[in-house]
Amino acid sequence: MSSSSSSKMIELRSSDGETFHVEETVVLQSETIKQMIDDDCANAAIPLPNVTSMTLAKVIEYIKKHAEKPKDDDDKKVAEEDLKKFDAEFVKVDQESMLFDLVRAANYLNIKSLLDLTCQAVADSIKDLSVEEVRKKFNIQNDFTPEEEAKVRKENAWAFD
Amino acid sequence: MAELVPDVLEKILITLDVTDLIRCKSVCKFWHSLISRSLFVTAHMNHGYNNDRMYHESGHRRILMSCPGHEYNCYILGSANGLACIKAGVEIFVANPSTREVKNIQKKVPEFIILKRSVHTPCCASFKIKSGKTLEKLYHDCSAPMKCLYPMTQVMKPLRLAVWGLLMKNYNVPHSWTAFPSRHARKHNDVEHYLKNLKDYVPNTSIFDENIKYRQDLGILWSPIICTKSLYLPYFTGRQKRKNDAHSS
Repeated sequence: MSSSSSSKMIELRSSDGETFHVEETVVLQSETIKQMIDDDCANAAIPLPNVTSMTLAKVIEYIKKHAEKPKDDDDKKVAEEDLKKFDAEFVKVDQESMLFDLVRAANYLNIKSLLDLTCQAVADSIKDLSVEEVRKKFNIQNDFTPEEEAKVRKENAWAFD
Repeated sequence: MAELVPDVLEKILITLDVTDLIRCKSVCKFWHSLISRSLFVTAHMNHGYNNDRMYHESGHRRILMSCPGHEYNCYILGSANGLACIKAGVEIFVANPSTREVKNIQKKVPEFIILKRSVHTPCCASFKIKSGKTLEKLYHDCSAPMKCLYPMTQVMKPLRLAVWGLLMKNYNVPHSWTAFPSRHARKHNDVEHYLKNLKDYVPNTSIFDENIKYRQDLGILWSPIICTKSLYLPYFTGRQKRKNDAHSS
C-alpha cells in the first residue's frame, strides 16, 4: 500500500492556470492539501487560487528538498547541514514581494516549517529599520494623528535611540 | 501588496527583539494594539524563553533596565504577573521586563505611599495592576514585623513572620507568594548563606550570579541588573510537574 501510494502523483493548479505534478509523499507536507487528499478531493487537479505559479514553483522546490530522507546516521548529519544551507539560500529572494508571497502561500497551504522559515526571514529583514521603513515594507498607512504618534513615540522613546 | 493575516503578522513580530518590537508599536494603530495585548506579551516572553533554552542561554537572560538618576540605588521589591516592582530612591516603579515599559506607580496610584518615618525600607510589594482591587503593600521595618497595607480598605495588618522578602513561586498564582528567609536565617549575615537560602526558594538557580549583591545595611538584594524570577518559574514548575507525574505514573 505504502509503496504504491508513494509514487502517486498529485496535480496542483496555480492561480494563473499552470499545473504542477508532485509526488503525493512530498505534497503531504502541506496540511491543507493533506486534508483535501484525506477527504478524497484530490482526484482532479487541486486548484490553489491564492498561489501564483512563480510562488508555487518555489514552494514545491522547498517541499521537495525537505522530503529527501537520509539513509543512515552519518548521512543524516550531512543532510541536516545541507538543509540548513538550503533554507538560508531559499529565503534570499530577489524581490521583497516574493518573500511575502511565500509567507502567504505557506500560511494558506499550512506548511509549518516553511511558514516558520519565511516569517523569521521577514522579521530579520525589519530588524533595525525605522518606523517609516517598516511602514513602507508592509505597505501600511500611518493611521495615528501627529499628536497620537508623538505620544506613542514619547512612551517608547528609548527604542528610538 | 495584500495584507498579511493577523496570525501571520503575530508570528513575524514574535521573533523580534524587544527594541524592534517597541519601535514597531508606532507603525499603526493595529500593530500597536497587537503588540500591547497581554496575550502577545506572554507569547513573546515564551518565545524568547524557548529560544534562550534552545541556545542554552537562559542562565544569561538578564534584563537591563535603568531608572534615570537612580542607577545605583534601585532594587527589586517583588515580582508578580510577569511584572517587577522596583524601588529607586524614594520612587516605586512597576516594570514589564518583556516590553521594558516602566511606570512610576507612586504618581499613578496615589494610595501607594511609602511610610518614611516608621519604616526604613519597603521590603516587598505585591501588586496586581490589572484588577486594581488587590493592590497590597508590604513594608518591612528592620525591627518591626512586616506589615501589609490594603489600600482599598486602608487597613494595616501585621504579618505573623518577619520576612526579608517575598517571591512568587508559581507564576501568576497569587497564593504562591513565599516568604524567604525566615527570621532565624537572618542571624547569618554572610551573603553566601543568604543566597544559598534564597536558592532553596528559587529552584532555577542559574538566574543568580555575582552581579546580584546583598546590601547588608538595607537587608535586601539589589542589582542594577534585574532578574525577574517570575519569568522563569512557570516553565520550571511546569517541567518539574511533568517530571513528577512521569515518575509517579
